[in-house]
Amino acid sequence: MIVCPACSHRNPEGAKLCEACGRSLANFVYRVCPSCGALNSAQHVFCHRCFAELALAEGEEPIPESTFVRPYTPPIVTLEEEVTTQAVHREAKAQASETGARPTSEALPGQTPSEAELGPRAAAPISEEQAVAPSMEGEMGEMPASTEEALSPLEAAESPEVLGGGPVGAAGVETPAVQVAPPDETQALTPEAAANPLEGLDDLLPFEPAVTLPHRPSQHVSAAPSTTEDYEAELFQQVAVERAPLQEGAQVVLPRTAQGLPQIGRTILYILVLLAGVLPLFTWGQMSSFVQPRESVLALVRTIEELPSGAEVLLSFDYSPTYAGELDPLALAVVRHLARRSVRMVVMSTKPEGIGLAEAIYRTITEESPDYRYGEHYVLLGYLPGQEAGLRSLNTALGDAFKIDYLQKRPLGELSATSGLATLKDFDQIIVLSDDSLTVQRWVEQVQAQSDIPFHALVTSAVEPLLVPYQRSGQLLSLIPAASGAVEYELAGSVKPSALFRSDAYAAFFVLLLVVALVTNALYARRGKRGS
Amino acid sequence: MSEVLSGLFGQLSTGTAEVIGPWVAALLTLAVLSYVFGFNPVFRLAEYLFVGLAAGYAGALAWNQVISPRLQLLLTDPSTYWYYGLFFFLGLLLLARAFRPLSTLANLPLGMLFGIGAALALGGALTGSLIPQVRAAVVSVVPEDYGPGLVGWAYALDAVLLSLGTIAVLSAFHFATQGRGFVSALWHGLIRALGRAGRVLLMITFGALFAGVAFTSFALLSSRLVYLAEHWFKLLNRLGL
Repeated sequence: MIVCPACSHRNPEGAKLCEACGRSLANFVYRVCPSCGALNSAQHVFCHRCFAELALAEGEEPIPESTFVRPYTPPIVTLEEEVTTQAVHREAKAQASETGARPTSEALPGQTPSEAELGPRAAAPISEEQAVAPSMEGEMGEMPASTEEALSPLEAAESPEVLGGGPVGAAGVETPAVQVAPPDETQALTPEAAANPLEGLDDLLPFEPAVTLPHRPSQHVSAAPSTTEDYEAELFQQVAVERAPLQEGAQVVLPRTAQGLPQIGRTILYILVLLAGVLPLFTWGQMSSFVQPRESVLALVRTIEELPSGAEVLLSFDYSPTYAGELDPLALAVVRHLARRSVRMVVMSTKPEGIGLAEAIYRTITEESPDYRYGEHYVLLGYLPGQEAGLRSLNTALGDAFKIDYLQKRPLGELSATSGLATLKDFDQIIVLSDDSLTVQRWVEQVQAQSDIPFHALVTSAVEPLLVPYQRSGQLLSLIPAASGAVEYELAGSVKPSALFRSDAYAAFFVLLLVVALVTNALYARRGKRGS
Repeated sequence: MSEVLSGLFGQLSTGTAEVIGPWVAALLTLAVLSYVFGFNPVFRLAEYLFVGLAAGYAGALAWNQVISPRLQLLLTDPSTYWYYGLFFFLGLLLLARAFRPLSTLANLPLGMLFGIGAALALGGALTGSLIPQVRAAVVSVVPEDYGPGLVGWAYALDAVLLSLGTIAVLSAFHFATQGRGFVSALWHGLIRALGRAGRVLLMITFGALFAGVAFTSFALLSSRLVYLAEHWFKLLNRLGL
C-alpha cells in the first residue's frame, strides 16, 4: 500500500499514480505495514512499530544495498605510520631552517594572522579528497561529531603535519602525505587497540591537544536538504502524528468534561446567594432561638468564666483583612467577655495586618467600657516576625521579642498590663484567631507543645476541619469556627450581641447549599443513567 | 511626613472621615464584587490597590516595630546590644542578592534562615504533631472505659470508627502489586478493600473542606453586604438617594 503525499489516500501496491488525486507516486513510496497499519519508509524491510515483515509489491525491485545508510567507521592510523611521519617532518623542518625559511607561525605577506596561527594546512587549499573521508562520500551529515571535533584541534596544533598530506607552504618543501588506511570493513581493530585506542601514542604530542582541549562546537555546513532528506522528514512527521490503530471492536473513550450550569441557572444561583446574604437585614435574627452552642464554644466560655480577675491572657490576631468579615464578630465577642471578667489581655500578631485589626476591635471595647484602659488592662505588643523562630523566642523572653508596645511605643516594663510577664509560661490562657491552619499548627508545635499552656483556636470555617485532629488529641482545648461560632458564643457567653442576627443568613445559606447539592447530584445521576 | 499628614487630616471638618470611609469601602467592595462579571479593570484596580497597601503597611510596620527600636538600642548602647549589629550586618548581606557579583554573600544569612527554620520546623513537627497524633490514634474500644450504658457504647463505636478510618485512609495510599501465594492474595485483597473505604472517607473529608470554604466565602459576602447596608445606604438615605 502506498500513501499519497498530497491527499493521504492509500493506494494499492505498485500504483504509479494516486487513485484519488492523480499525482505521481514515483518519488514517494511509503509502505503501510499489513500488520499494524503504520507508515514505513520504502527502504524498510521490517515495520518500525511491530517488526512485521513488509512484503515487496508485485513487480517492485528491492532497493540496492549500496544506498543503505551505514555507520561511519573512522580511519585507522598505525603507530609505525605516525612515527614515520614524525621523522619526515623533523627532517623537513631541519631543511627549512637551513634554507632560512620563516617559521610557519609567522604571518606571510598576503596571509591573515589567523591563517598563520592555524598553520600551513589551513592556508593551503583543501582538495575534495582531503575534505571528505573516503568512506563518508555523500554522508558528511552522518559523521560523528566527535570525529569532527577530533580533527579540528589537530589543525590548530603546533605540528599540523601529522595528518597533513598537503604542502608545507612556507618552506616550500613537499612532504609526503601519511597514508591513511581506508575504512575497509574487513580490517578490524586489534583487541588491544579496541581496549585502549590511545595506547602507544604517549610520545605523539600533536595528538594531545585533540584529547585534552575542550570540545568546540562543530561547524555545521548549511546546505539545502536533498530530496531524500525531505522525504525522510515528511515520513517522520507523518509517523509522529499518526494514531495507533485500534483493535477490532475497541471504542474511543473521550475525556469527560464537566458541564457547567447554564447561564440562567448561574444567575439564579447568584441572586439566591445574594438574597440569603441580605436576609438578616429584614428578619433580624429570627433563627437565633434555634441555635445550640457546641461543646467547644461552651468549653471556652466556661474557661473564661473560671478565670480570676486580673488573670493574664495572650491573644494573637493572626488573620488578614480578607477574613475580617468572618473573624471580627467572634473576636469582638470573646474580647467583650474577657473585658467583662476584668482579665488582663496582651495582644500580638504574627501577621503584619493582624495588629491593625486588633486595634480596631479594642477601640470598640474602649468606647463601650471606658474603664477598661490601654496599658493598664490591655496592651498591644505588635507584630512578631520570624514565624517558627519568632514564636519559639516567646518561650524564652517576651521582652526580647517585643521591645516596645504598638500604640504608645513604650518599653514593656513601663506598662502595668505586662508587669510580671517574662515568658509565655506566665500566661493563663492563649487564644489564637487565625485564617490559616498552618499558623495554628505552628503555634501548637512551637508554643503549646513546649509549654503546655491551655490553648484555644478561633479559626475560619474553611480551616476548621484541618485542625480537628489537634482538638481530638487534646492539644487544642477549644476549636471554634468563626462564622457560626460568633453566634453561638454570644448566646453561651451572654455578651452584647452583634453577630446574632447573622444566624438567619447562615441558616438560609445552609438550606440553599443543601438544595443545590441535592438537585445537582440528582441531575448528575439522571444524566449518568441516560449516558449508560 | 507623618506630622504633615496628620496636620492635613486635622484640617478636615469633623465627620469627614465618617463620610469618606464608607464611600471608599463601598466603592472598593463593589469593585471586588464586580469580578462576577469577569476579570475587569475595576476589579484589577481594587486588587492592585489592596496588594500595594498591604505591602506598604507591612513595610512601615516592620520598620516601626522591628527594625527601628533595635537600631536605636544598638546606637545608644552598643556594648550591651552589640549582637543587634551582627544581625543588621547579616540582614544587609541579604541585599547583596540584588547584585550579581556580590550575590554569593547573601548565602550566609539565607543559610542561617533556612537552617534554623528547618530545624525548628522539624523538631516542632515531631514533638508537636507526629508523636501527639500517633498517641491520640491509640484509643480504647472498650465501652466501660468511657462510661456506663449507651454513652459508653457510643464513645467506643466512635473510637472503633476512628481507628478503622485511620487505617483505611492509610491503605488508600498503598500502591504495591500483589505478590504470589494465597497469603499475599488475601493480604492484597484486604488492603484493596480498606483502600476503597479510605478513598470514600477522603472524599467525605474533601466535601467537608469544600463546604467550609463555601461557608467562609458566604460569611464574608454577608458581612460586606451588611456593612454596605448599615453604613453606605444610610449615607445614601441622608443624601436623599
